[in-house]
Amino acid sequence: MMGLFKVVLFFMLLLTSVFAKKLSKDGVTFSIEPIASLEVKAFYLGRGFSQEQIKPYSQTCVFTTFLRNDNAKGTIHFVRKNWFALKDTKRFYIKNDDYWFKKFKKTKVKMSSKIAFELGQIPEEQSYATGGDWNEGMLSVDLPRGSKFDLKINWNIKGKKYELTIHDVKCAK
Amino acid sequence: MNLRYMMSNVPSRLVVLLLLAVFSLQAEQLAPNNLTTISPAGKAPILKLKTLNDEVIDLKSLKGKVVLVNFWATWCPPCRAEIPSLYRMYKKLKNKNVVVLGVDIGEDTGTVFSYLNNLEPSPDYPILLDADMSTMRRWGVVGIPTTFIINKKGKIVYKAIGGRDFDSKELINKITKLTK
Repeated sequence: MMGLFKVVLFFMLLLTSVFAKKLSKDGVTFSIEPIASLEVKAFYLGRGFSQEQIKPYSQTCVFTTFLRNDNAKGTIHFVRKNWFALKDTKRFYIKNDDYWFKKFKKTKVKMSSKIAFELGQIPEEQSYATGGDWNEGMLSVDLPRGSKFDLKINWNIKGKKYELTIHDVKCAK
Repeated sequence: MNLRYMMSNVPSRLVVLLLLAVFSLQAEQLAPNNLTTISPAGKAPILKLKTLNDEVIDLKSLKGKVVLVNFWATWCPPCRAEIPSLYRMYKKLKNKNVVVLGVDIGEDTGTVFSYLNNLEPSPDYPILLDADMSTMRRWGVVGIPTTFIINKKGKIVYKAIGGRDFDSKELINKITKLTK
């Protein structure tokens, strides 16, 4: 049974990697890859969450994302809550960690699990110097699994705004 | 065997390993490997934590040495990816008064021990435990891995957010210069 589970998980990862997208603009690289609900659960159960605790998060569209300042004109600064998914002209802004922590509070999530959750996300706010600063982390878009949308991310350099649109992002089931 | 047991053990490790493979593919595209110069150099915040062996290490006591403070966690794919290069750099430079402090965030001794014991080679630089994230917050870290390089006067001179190849020629040269 364990063998079958591993095989299923492996093929899910392989399948989701097909939908990965990677774009570079203005010296900044961003990549996004859908993660299946089962993969999200597996990761967070390993970090001490119960299935019930992580269910609301794993049911949303979760991605592994990666943002790097390769050679932008200066240090980039971003605020994650300003990023949004655009679906049928409606904007779905990325939720702050506090939104999830309030949900976790009701089910008494352990401190170590909350820490892993916070650090497992792409940061809420961060600055990357030119020359290779980067983070990788999960990003949840509060839309049903299987949704398709455009994702708009933005950052600024000394107050000047930059934007990148990732078209036709497909959420894993 | 229930689903929770299955998912909290082998599959979880498998997920981390596969995420690591995906991460490696994402990051391989000739990523720059620079350190950010902190100018003017800033005083390092307080760092006084217990090691896995229950000893207390205080950064203040390491004045006169070049110290790399690396914030990480066992489940973090880019943290795991950079540990071998960090350890190779440490082995090359430890005789030149270079110290590495690995600060694990939010995990217990057993978890960290069990991860390190499975590494070949297993790094033998001190691993400190920041169980409640308070040191990480004090240092202004919001994502891991993040590494600070502190000169012999106790000032932060370089910072790196995200993984690096620490035993690259350029980085070894930069760190070696600080020892002189």
